Amino acid sequence: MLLREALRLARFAKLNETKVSLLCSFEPLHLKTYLQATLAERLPGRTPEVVTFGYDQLREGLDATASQLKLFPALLCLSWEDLHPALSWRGRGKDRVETSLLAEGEARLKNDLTRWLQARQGSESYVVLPPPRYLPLLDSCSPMAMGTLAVEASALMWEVAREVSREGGRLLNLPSCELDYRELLLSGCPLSPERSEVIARRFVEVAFLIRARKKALVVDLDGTLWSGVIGEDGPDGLHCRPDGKGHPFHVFQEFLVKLKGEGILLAFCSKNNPDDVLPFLDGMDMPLALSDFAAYRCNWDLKSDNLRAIAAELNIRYDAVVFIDDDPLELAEVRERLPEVVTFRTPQEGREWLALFESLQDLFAAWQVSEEDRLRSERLADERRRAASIVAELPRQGPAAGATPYWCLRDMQLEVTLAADAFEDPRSLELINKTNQFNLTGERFLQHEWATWAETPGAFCWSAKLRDRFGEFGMVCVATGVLDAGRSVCLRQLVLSCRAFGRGVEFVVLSELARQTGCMWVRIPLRDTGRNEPAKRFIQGLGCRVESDGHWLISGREAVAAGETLILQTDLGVRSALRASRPSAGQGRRG
Amino acid sequence: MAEVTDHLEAIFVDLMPRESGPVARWTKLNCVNWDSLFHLNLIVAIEQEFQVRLTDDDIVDLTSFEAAAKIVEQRLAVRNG
Repeated sequence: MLLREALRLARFAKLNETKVSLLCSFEPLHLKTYLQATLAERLPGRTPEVVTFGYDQLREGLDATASQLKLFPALLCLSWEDLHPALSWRGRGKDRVETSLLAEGEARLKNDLTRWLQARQGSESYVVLPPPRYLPLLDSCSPMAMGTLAVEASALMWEVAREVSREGGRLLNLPSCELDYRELLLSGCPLSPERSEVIARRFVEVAFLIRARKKALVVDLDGTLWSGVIGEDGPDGLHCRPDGKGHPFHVFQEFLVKLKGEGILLAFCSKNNPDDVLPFLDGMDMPLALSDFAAYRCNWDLKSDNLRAIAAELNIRYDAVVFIDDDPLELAEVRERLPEVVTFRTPQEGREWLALFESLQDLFAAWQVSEEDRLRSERLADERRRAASIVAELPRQGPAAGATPYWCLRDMQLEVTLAADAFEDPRSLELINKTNQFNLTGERFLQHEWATWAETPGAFCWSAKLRDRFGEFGMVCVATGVLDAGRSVCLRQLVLSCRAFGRGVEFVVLSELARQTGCMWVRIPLRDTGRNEPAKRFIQGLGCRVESDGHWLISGREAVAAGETLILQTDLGVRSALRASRPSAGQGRRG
Repeated sequence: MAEVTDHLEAIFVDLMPRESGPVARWTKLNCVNWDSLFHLNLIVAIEQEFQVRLTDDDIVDLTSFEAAAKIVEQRLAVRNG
């Protein structure tokens, strides 16, 4: 983007009341311009205002963003001078730089940033490290080598980075670059306009453009998971060992194991005779085993049909699926019939694999991986056993005429645990931001918006965890809203994980919310997002009446009754862990 | 030449939107908005949009619209051989 275009975008941006703080000890100059312009370009109509603190005002910036601006995202661009003033091309002074001085500077900077991040806990803080090429020449050796002082300064800066990361700061990974020496001397800003744009774009992409994390990776087998054709070459004729032509496939499989550990569901979809494949998968000398796959299809059907079946089995939408195949015709068929699925062709050359790994890592990226994410595949296995159990019991119990669909849950030993301090659990926001189907309004929150909402007087956030006789589901439901002075609960959002559909958790949460707050009414916003049919059906089925402002209204008594009916039918147990209850709710314990 | 001055005029107006009067007569002395920030932005805008590199002397000599037009002409001539 040309500077003139950036200035124009920044000048005419329609700013909202939110801010983005840009902190650095150098003159932010073009970085400020490009940051404001990129925000205006990518967030039109809801552009945050970029706040800066001027040349050599890092301390003031840290103070302000740890107090009055602490709820808003901050971007801190460190420079070598922040470690020690002598690490500057512009003013290194007469004294020789000593490693002990650098260590003192590192301790100071680390301390400042630790306090800053602790004060900003819950808010998004992004950090950019200075490139090694910005270091002044400190050592006696050739610039083609790194001397003791350059190594020392770099190591200390990485120490700072490690502390920043441990304290929840998010480090941006930027390509290395050369110092724009003329720009530095002219303006005091070491960043060229091009470098400024790179930083601004990466920050806005990572901090503001929330993309739903993909949930499942479906791979072909022959030519994708290994080199060779299992039906022709047999399991012994395949290549996936860490040498020769099997090497990239071996690394790919190890990468899939890593993704599985981060909560990504793995599946395969292969045109093969099942008998040629399934008996051998566990005995092959490769990183993946059959049990690593949450679902699979091994037949001669269309791949798009198989992907549909896999998505249904995993209970995820097509747009949460990534598919990799070496056959361009198969990929074309999938793209034609399932355009929502992201597809990649298996690399045909060694040099292409890295780009695939980076693309996959980006699609499956998450700042934090919870224990629930890590156990997702195992939970899915629990789910299969549940489904099998219900199917097995259907002919025996059979629903009586007019019975609710919940009768079959009686023997599942369902137990819901409620918590009223869910603002403090990062999983609450994660669940709200990734749930599409049971989602009242489709509203998403950025981290600072969530922190601001949590500070609203009367705001509450409840969560519900579910378990049954097969194991834990983890947190499956989040309800947030305010309790107003007229004793009405005004919900802002209610989401339910699709894994917990059909268990009645939503009835329990609404009922307990009404019971424990003693509210007269529950006001529920409902907006058709095109994807939230389950949420609509729940609200419409409650017997609510619609108010003129589009909210749905149910009396507290009716909400309690709906939950109690469900509990009677299912024998579901409710536990409350309401230690920091907002609004004031009792410590009820039932079930 | 006209093409250069028209393009340069657009740059000046965009970078100093609050300045009035004929752009061709704008100088560092008679424009209140010709501050160091404008000067830095002007250097970058000229280099980006005319695909030239200004020398240190050019940057010092860049004190009026007229001077800017001459400098750009010279740099374009150097670039085009």
